[in-house]
Amino acid sequence: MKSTSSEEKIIKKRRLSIDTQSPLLRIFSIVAFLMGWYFIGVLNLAELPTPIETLEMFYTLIVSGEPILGRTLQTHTTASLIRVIEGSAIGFAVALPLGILMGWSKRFERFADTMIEIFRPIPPLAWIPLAFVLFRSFDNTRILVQIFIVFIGAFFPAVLNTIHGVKSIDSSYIESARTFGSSDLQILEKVVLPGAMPSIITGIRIGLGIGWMCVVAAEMIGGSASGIGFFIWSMYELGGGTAEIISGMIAIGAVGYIMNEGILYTERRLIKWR
Amino acid sequence: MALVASNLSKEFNSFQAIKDVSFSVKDGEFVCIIGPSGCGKTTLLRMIAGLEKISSGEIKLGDRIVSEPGKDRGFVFQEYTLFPWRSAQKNVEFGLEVQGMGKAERKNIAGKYIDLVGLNGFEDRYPKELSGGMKQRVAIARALASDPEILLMDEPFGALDAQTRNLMQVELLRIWETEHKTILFVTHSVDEAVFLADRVIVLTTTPGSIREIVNIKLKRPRKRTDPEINQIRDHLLGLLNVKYKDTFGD
Repeated sequence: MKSTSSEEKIIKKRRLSIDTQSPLLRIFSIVAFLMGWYFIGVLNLAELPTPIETLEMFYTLIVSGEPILGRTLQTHTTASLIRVIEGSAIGFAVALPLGILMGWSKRFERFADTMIEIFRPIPPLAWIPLAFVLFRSFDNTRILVQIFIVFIGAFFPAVLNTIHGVKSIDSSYIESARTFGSSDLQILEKVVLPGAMPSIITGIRIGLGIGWMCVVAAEMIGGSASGIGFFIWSMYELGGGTAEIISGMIAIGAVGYIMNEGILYTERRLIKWR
Repeated sequence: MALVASNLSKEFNSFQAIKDVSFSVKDGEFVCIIGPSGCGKTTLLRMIAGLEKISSGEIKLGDRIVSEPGKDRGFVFQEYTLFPWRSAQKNVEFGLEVQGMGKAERKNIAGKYIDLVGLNGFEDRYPKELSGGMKQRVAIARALASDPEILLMDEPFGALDAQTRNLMQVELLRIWETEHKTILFVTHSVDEAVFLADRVIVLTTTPGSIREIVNIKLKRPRKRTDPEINQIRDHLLGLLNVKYKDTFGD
């Protein structure tokens, strides 16, 4: 009898709890956040516009633009996005071959890993002053600096994940390929690359995310003339239009979220074998 | 093609794993290697495959000396080692791809071997979607597709449950008979060896050296409970056991 009653309890508990697959929990967290924000604004606990005021501003910024700088929110966002894509593409173009080489050859790893570990703790933004000096002689110094900062930000997660991906390939796969008379190059192409691909994609995803954070920060510091970071900073300097500032932040969050989800989606489509 | 191993030895640093092992496998023969765990039977097979460097001695396949891995020796591992990012079909095509064979021909040959191991309809499955027995069928098809002269099998059914294992043994004999392959098969199971082999090479414990080579002249299909089979099994178990007593006492 006792066991039946405890079973009933378990069943009851299950009925009360929300199914983990349902979107309810996510919606609930968003609603709770917006309500908290709303009350902070309405009760004047902090100098914040309400979510509705912010949303109105966000809409205006997209449709008619911001009058002082004379550009829409999406123009600023696109400018930043292009820099992120350029900077991280260069970052990945260096990081992936380097990571594969380092994962593949113990000797090369020994040669390169100390340098990587010394440079890695330097925050990307700490490179800004030096970058300005390095790119001084170019016409578009500011943009090159921003691309360079993105490069630094995207490079390390990509290289580390690639190394990890290559090293974690089970050596029995490589041996198995060898028994078919595969050359080193064939093993690289047919075993190492596909085997490391999930980690490489993770590195790209994290690298893009950090690159996105870096560009926004670099645009704020670097005396920039466009970009979403520049927009937010300008709104602050022009008298602190909080609704404009938050609208800019929402744009950053939305783009970051979409990039991340986009890569996750591509990964699921591309890698069905996991 | 015949395989001749002469005076093979293997040392890892100062540890001697294999000592002065000589034997041959005739064309079309099915030979099993058994021995107590850790006697170096897997090492021996890996040396023949070229996956492990030989400390001294020589391996000849036909009239060629072999020391590196090559497609003339197919290898089936205990842990399947199918490439998880390739479908069953693409796994079987792997060796053909390495040889640079064209797509259509590859598909054709792989299809034939998938047929042979009875996996029709599973071509597009990834390894994670296959059972242990099915994975090992794919691994056998993959090794055979490159048309090796000898098939080296390292405890291929060791990870399977008893029933699947028995079934796979019957399947392997069927494949061996249709393909006329030479097979060198490492196992720690005396039952498996007496059911499969023409000859059984019994190794001693460390360092692995040959204790006895036992001929099994019984015709196939063999009945696992046949008195004659039992006699041979008894003899083999004795060979393994005596050595155990020599080494560790009762």
